[in-house]
Amino acid sequence: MAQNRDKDQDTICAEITPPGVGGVSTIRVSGPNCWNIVRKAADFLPDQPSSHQAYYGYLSDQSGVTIDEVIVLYFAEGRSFTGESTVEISSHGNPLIVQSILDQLIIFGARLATRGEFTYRAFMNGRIDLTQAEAVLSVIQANSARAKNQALDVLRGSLSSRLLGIEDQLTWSLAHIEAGIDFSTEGLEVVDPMLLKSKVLDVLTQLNGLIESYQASRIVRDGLKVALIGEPNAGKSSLFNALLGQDRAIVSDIAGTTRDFVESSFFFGGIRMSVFDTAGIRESQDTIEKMGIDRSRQIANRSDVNILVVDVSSDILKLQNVADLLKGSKTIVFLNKVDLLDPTNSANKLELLKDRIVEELKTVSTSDEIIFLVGSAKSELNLDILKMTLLKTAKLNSIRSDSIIDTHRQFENLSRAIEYIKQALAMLNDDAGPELVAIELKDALILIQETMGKRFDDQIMDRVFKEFCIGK
Amino acid sequence: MKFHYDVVVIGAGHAGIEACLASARLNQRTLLVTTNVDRIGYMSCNPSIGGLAKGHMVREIDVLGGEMGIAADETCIQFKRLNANKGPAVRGTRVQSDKHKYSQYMKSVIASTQNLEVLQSEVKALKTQNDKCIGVVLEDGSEILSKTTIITTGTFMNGVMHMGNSQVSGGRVGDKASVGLSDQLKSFGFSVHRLKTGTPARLYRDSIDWSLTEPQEGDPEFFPFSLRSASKLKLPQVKCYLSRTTPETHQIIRENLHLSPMYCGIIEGVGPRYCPSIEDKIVRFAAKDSHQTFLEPEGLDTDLIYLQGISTSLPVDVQDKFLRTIIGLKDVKVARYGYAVEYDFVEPTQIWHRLESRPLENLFLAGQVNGTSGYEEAAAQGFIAGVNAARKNLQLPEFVLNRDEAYIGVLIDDLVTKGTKEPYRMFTSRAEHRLVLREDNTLDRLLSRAEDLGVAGSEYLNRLNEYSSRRQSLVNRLATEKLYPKADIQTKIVELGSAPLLKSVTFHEFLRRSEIKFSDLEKLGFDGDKDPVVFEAVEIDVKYSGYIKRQKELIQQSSRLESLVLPDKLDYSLIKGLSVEEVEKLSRIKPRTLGQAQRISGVNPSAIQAIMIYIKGNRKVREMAIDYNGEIRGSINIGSVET
Repeated sequence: MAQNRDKDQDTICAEITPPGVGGVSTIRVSGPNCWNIVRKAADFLPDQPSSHQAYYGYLSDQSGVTIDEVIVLYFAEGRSFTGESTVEISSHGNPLIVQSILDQLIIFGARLATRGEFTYRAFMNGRIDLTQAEAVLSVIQANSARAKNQALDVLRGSLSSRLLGIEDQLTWSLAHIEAGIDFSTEGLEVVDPMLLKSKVLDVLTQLNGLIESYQASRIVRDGLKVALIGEPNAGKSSLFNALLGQDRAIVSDIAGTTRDFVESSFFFGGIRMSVFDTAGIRESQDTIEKMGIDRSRQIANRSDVNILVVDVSSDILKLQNVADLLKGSKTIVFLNKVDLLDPTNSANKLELLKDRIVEELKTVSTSDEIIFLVGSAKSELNLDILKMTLLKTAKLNSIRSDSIIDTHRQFENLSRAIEYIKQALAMLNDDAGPELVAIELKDALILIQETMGKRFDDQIMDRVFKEFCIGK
Repeated sequence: MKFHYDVVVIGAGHAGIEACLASARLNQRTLLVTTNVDRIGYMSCNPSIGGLAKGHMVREIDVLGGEMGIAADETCIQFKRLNANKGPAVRGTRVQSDKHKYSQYMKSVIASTQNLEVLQSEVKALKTQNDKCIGVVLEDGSEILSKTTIITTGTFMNGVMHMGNSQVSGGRVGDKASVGLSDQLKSFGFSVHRLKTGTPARLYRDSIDWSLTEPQEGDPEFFPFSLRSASKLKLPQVKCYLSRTTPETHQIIRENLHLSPMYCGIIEGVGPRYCPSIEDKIVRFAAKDSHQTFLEPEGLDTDLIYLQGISTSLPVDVQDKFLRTIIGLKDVKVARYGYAVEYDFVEPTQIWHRLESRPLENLFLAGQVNGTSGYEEAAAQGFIAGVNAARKNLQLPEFVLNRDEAYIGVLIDDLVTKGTKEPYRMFTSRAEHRLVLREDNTLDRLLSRAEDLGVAGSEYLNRLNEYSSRRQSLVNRLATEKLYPKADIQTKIVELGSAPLLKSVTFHEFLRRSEIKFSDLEKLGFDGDKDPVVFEAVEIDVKYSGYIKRQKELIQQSSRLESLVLPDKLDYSLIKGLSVEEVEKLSRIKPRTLGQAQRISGVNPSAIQAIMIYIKGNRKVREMAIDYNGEIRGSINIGSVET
């Protein structure tokens, strides 16, 4: 029995703050021996620690030489992130200090944690389910305040509780269908078909809500992609620089200055906005310019919002090439250079222009109403309104903070579940065989349970845990 | 040691019969011990075989070489396909049998089977040596030594019959209980608990006012369980009659609930939720003021009528009173009152899939003694136990059916994995691969298994093989022969209520149209096999093909876990990440595979992950042990399994 040193029974350690020089660095030590191991390097610590208690003192190496001044925090078994007894040591943020502390801990019997191992242990010890494990990753990688809050919500189990409700309704429906099959001879009225349909329909509504929130949630996490589209010299690059508050794009009076796209991002309302400045759209014989225009087309296709920049001072407006690019996406029309207009008849001119643009864009099937904004990139007129509009377009107000799915895996699973539920509903309406309806619902149920990690699938687990970096 | 027999079977109910026949047919010298030779193959409760999910098992037993199916066919007095209006996967064949003739049939088969002897006696104890069962001790103290022993005692172990306050020892009216065996099992470490079951009153035919009941005919077309049976019925067919309880019935029962041994605490055993007594139904479905009941003749030459659905253990005078309030029973005469039986069963998680017990080697258990209810569940286990007792003697590998092969596989895997707290009854919903486990394709699923096993005689196997190849050739023809959009064909298709063809299609593709039946293909020039035994399964396979493909994919997926074998001696307490409860359950149940471990209730997915990592040992571990620099830390040694 000598070889039975189980990996999860030993004590692991790693730095949990980003490596490098900083104010403070923290090392986490997790496992049954963590307190004894740390105490070997810290004689100021008591024999029996209290949970969630901080201890202050000096850490020294095995020969008694002081390494650093530290704060030691203790978390008892069952009350820590991993579920195991855990110690966190905060030292000064110097890689050399961190390295010597880790060296000492290893000498005293700990080993370095592997990729994702803390979270893995938390999962194994039942502290978090799979959606929460994924959320840990999202919290760590969150690149904006809102993304972080959203991931924290998932971590607190909000997605799981929504899914639990859906699971419950699906199980109810399945149980009643099965009873209708297996007890058909007993003369019991098992389920009212209308009630069954309405339950399944409710599941569909809830799943749809989660999927819609994913679209919004993706924007929260990855940022909103905004493309600036327009004719050459409409002032796209100026608007780009003005939005970012820096001179990123080259601006000149020469039409076609921007040949390739330029991307940069800024934060507004807690959301990262990735803005793409694109080459102006016109008929061109220039090979390079043509390539640039092609890129513009691709970017317009992939962005969440397109801003059509229009130079109101120009008398010639050729929107037919541009309109084509805006097909099917949310569009804001920014009427630029309004400060160059003669104030006496500007209102009139703007109205005429709007009508014309509406007319030009009518051919492309933009389902939503076009939003018009008047302003000037050069004199930074109405830029805040533009930013607010972008936020609104991202439909952030409609996001319920407790209904967020967070990763593509979850999105994929729930989208597939929706397909099965839709099929089941269609079959219920057609009075198809209950044994077939049951298959659709069961497949949906399996996907819901997989999403929560309630069903074991080795490949999914591997995928989730491989995304973690060491020390998380 | 000089053994008297290769196999001894204790008990001649539905499990015992299949066990002794299977073992004798595998050339084992077999002895069947029963306390009453007149009650061999007796139907203690309802006079029918099959039903939803149960009919599936009867067909499986039949293809593998068991007897139940053909016995039911031979003695059928009413034939029905249940759920005929639902999909083929959830249909179930039920045969009402002449109870007396069924028993007679079984007796004569046993009498004419080679290698098989019958002894009327009571087994008082098992004879054991070094945790092995080596035979039995009879009531007169004599010993019979056998290589393997099978217990199929049904409800007889410490059986007590209840009727109101009266309690009589016995496993069934007219038969004494077997006392002592379960105490001995306990002493060997078996955990033994109590279960309860019940049976309704039997009524005299002449005392019933049939005009107030609704006659129920059997189906016009007969599809026998067994492909050995003639397609014509041997016996005249009878009707059953539908009647109902009334509010007065419920009133009387409610007022006398305190006299029911279940409700006043005399019975400790758990009763079957799925086959509840009338007392249970009235308590649990309080809102209903009427329940249906079928009046079923017990046979052709008997005056007795079985009152389906009204099992009870109320005192005689209360039964007299409430029976008379059921429609048509105003002047009823009771031949035998209903009663409940409480009996010992062995916790089935102590049994391997082959149905050999863990505490005592060479001892097999099958039937109600393992906590099941129903003749079919019993027979299925009896067959498997008989086969495996024989195979153990012959030093052949165990015979275990998988969950995706047969309902019998589902039954046994459920029992040994999850145990049971109430009498276990089979349902179609217990089979996760329901669409591939149908009655019609039993032959396709199990023929090769039957051939390996060799219980079914070569004559029957030849017949099964012939059917199988006829099905196969029909499948091939459907897949290759084409239907072309010619004018006359299009007209006929439209006449059949279907849309004209856009291009040529195979008959297989065409048959997938929901409005098209196999029998329609003839009109379109396809000259297929007209025998329903051949075309029905093929047609259903075509109709279901999309779903069958999906189920097969799921089976494929789960086979990854089913193929990861867990060593018997694995010490679960060494695996970190398992809860105390999980360690306890896994150590007790000792799953054969990771797939089975996953089905143990209360064992979480994270535990399965932990076990998998532990088992896969070093490869997984190294992958997990990449350090800061992406280098493999070779010094960590985890997860070596010591057995």
